[in-house]
Amino acid sequence: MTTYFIEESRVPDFLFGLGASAVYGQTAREEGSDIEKLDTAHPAVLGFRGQRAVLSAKSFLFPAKERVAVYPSARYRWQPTAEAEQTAVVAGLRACDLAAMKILDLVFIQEDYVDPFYSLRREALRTVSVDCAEPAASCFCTLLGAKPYAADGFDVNLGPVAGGYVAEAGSDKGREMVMAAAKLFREATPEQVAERDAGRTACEKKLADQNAQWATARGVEKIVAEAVEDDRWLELAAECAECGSCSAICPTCHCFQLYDQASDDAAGPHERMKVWDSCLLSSYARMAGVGGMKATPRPELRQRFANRVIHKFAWFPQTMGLLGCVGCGRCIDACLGGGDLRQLLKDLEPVEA
Amino acid sequence: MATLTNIYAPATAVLEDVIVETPTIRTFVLRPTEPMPFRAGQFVQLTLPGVGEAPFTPSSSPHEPDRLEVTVLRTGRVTDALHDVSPGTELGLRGPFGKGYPIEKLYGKEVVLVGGGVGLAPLRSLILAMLADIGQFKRLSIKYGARTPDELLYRGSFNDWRRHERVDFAETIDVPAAGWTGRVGLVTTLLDDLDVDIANSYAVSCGPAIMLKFVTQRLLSLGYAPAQIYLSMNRRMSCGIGKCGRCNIGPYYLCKDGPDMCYEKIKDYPDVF
Repeated sequence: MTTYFIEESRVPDFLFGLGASAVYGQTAREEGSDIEKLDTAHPAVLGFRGQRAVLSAKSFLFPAKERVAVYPSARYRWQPTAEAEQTAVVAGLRACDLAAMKILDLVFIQEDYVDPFYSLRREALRTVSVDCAEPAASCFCTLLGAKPYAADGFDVNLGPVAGGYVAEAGSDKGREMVMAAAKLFREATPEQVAERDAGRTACEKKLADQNAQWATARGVEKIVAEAVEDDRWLELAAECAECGSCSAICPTCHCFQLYDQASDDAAGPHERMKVWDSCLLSSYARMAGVGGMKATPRPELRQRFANRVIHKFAWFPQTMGLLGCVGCGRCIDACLGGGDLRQLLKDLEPVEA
Repeated sequence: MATLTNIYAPATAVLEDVIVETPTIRTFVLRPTEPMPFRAGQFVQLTLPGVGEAPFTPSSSPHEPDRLEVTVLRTGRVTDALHDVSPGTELGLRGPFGKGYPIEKLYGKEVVLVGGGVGLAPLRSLILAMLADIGQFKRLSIKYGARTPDELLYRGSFNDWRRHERVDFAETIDVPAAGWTGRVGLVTTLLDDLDVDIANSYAVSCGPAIMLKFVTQRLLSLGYAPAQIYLSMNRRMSCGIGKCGRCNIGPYYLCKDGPDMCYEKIKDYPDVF
């Protein structure tokens, strides 16, 4: 991969010069930082050198609430294209955000059925990722064998160095993006690449240090797979407030519900909405009918709590070939009960006799 | 970019007829605008416009793809409203989804079908598919139970099914009822005197979860291996295509990998019944 250098001050020019309908970027904030819509008229200070954004990039591909059908379809010719086809540049993503997109891709476009809404948004998306320089206290990607910088999955990746970033294109789209802004880039010097690599190593070290107490001797996939029938789930779920925050903030949680919004006119048009849902909520799998006739699966919180963890760490890997968690730690920040997934995984590991 | 099909939009189907089966169960005869070929055991998402969707496995023969019947117990928001609609109404359909019954696996076998209540509905589609090709099967033995005589579905068909060579049919009701001279007892009691070559048999069951549990236990005690038992695991489903998450048993999504699951595949996961 060719490595380029771009000055800090030229990054907005690069992002706005791509001809996208909208440019989103991580902005700097005193506390907490998010990926926001950027506006040339009101320039924001980018937050690429700080901690990962509070929210993941999930909603750029899978909005919290989206209209997915207008029916009866014979009378209402409605296509999902208009909004979803708008090209968006999203900058400031981290390696964990890209890893999460790979997981969502598996669910929404690489299975037997393609979700057209996800697919159109994905196709139209341009990703600019950044190597993590400063992990959040809850970050634990390295515990899962991942790294705080991306090897692939990005269009353009930026590695922070003095005065700017070492840039690489990781896809055809990315190469086109760099070519379109060729005058903003020059070739990176070996010293700049070495500086970027030293930054990567330093961040990995910080992550290893801050997570040392939660390191497990065996892989988390194996630990969780063996804990499916564990009788400690009741105890482990004790701090869960059943609020669903972890699912909402999780970059890989993809459960949703379809519900129909009726028109006042019985003839329609009626709208079908696709809305985020959480497997922790008791309404999630509730069956119709009087109690017992059609028993609702996982009636107890401990069962739903276990299902969520086991799905990510054992069943998703079993069917899809990779872990369903990227170690971003957002669920730890969001948990109302103070739950820490790292501690949970550590607690599940059997103590060696 | 290739044209993408909107997997969430329902196609139109006209309700042609409503057959009152029992006080709480009706069969809805649908004619989809575009024929919707299905395998016995696959399911459709039926939209009642402006109310919502619910999943049903057709109860009609898969050999009639331009006409599709679903037999529905009145039990919740969508089914309550559905029971009130009249012929001529336009409904919506998505599907078919899921794998359906493994009918080719049943060739040459003694097949035992165990149905409970409205659970006979999906099995009727399988029965009709098997009857159309009955020479392929060594035998078809149908065991059916309902709570009361009123709740027995398709009573008019029982004698038609029985008349086929290689087919036997037995029904029971849970508790004695005035005017009922047939068998009384849970459907599992129909398995007590099961006269089949178990080594050369498959059992397929559909009914309430609690019934499936006891039927499975009985079949296992009779000597069926878990791999010889197929269960219709019907849970709440929203998308129908393995994405929305809610219908899982362990790593399997019932909508995509089922809804008829080999017991061998699911037996070791929590919360099967």
